[in-house]
Amino acid sequence: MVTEQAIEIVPPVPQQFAGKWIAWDWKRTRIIASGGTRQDVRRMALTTGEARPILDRVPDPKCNFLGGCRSSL
Amino acid sequence: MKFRYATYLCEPSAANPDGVIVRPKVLLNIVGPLGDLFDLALVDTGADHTTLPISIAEELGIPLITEHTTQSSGFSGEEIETVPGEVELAIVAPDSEVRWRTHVYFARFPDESKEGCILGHVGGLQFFSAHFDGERQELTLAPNSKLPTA
Repeated sequence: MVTEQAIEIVPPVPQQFAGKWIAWDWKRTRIIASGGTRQDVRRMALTTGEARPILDRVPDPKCNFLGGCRSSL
Repeated sequence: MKFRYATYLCEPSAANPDGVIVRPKVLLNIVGPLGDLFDLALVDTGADHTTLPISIAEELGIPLITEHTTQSSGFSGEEIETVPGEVELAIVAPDSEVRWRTHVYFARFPDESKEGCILGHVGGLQFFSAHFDGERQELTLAPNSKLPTA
């Protein structure tokens, strides 16, 4: 028997947030805060009453991401 | 656990005529002695290590193993300081979560606005089997036998 796994449908992040940090509400239906740094946005999100904000950094379309970290060990 | 890729709208361009950036990201619960928080982490099979911003370690009171400080770099080769620390992590899906305890790197970003969370091999993807479906823009993760307990 194949069991279908639940998948969360999250709306696309509007262009106005490009390059910024954003905070979603727990259900990821609304962006409740945005700004320049992770810590500032988390603080702002918590003041809205959302106890579990979800933080994300929105890509800057003027600066492509080319891969993650490589340890020098 | 199945995740739809995160979707970001942008100005269409010659290189990106659809005006959409998609990234495989998962909801990561990061737990330390002082509390926990939730961030979206990029799932990056090319990253050697799971790496989080050092500001998260500071906020959650996670002790850092400074004598093992090292440097890490991205594609461009630009290096940043990374310090290991032990942390409890969970990947959270709508219907389930997978939790484990591991060592990750905490990165000291020169520019706070450029911080980010990466689920890389050590401390993260080594404990999962992953399937990336580019057509459906979905990532499926299943824990494997290497998953340590939280």
